[in-house]
Amino acid sequence: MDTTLKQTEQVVMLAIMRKHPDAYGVSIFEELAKRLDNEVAMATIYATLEKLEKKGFVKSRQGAATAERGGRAKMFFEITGKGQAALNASFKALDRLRSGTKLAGAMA
Amino acid sequence: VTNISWEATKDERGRVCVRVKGCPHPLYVDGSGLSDKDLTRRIVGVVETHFAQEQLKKTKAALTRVEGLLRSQTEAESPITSPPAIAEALISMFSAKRFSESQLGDMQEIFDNNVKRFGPKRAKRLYWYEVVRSVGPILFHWLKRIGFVAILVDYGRKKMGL
Repeated sequence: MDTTLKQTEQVVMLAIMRKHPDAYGVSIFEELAKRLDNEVAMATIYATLEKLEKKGFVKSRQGAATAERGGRAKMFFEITGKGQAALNASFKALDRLRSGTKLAGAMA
Repeated sequence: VTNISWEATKDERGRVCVRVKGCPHPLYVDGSGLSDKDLTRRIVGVVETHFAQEQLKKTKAALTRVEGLLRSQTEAESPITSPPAIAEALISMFSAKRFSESQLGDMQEIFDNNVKRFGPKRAKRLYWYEVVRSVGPILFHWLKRIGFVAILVDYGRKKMGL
């Protein structure tokens, strides 16, 4: 089982953590647009969520159907313990790689 | 009451009949046992109440008319719309089956917000843009895969001398 995380997976997981317990498609989409100054396609978000769920990093639960959404239910997402560990490991790996390097224009 | 003209007369039964100008029906006041001063005060009270009730009716009718006008104007400006059906079909075709319903719901939510913010025309355009953005990479991936399969088939045919 693949336990590595791509950048898209990292950002989607972080958005889920930020929007917890109200992390569903639209809130993740808006959070990414707000924080990254870039709109990630809804299909990309769902494709990433599907991959993350297969890896066991994210779990989903279905909410109630609402009339505003044409009677379609929301799907809420949550990071699992395994997901948090993987995210932590990927950031630590990045930090190890980053330490000692000097980026022009970097704040810290 | 100072602006309302009214006239009071006693009828054959001894009741005070008040005729208010502009009001088709007379108002009756029981004036038995009242002094002239108290009777006048009661008549003024009845006329005032009647006038206030008439004003309330007129205001309510006017408000209902304004409400109707506003509603029809709003409906004309932003008719209730739904996302383009073909675009929805494309999304449900290309998205993962498990998340297809929730993804369509999310897209509808964004569409409704866009209708409120930009109007139905631009909302539909943005919906299509999102569909192209979503379906485009999947189609490209499919075409690449078909290309790879075609190369494999061609290689096999060459090897087998077909």
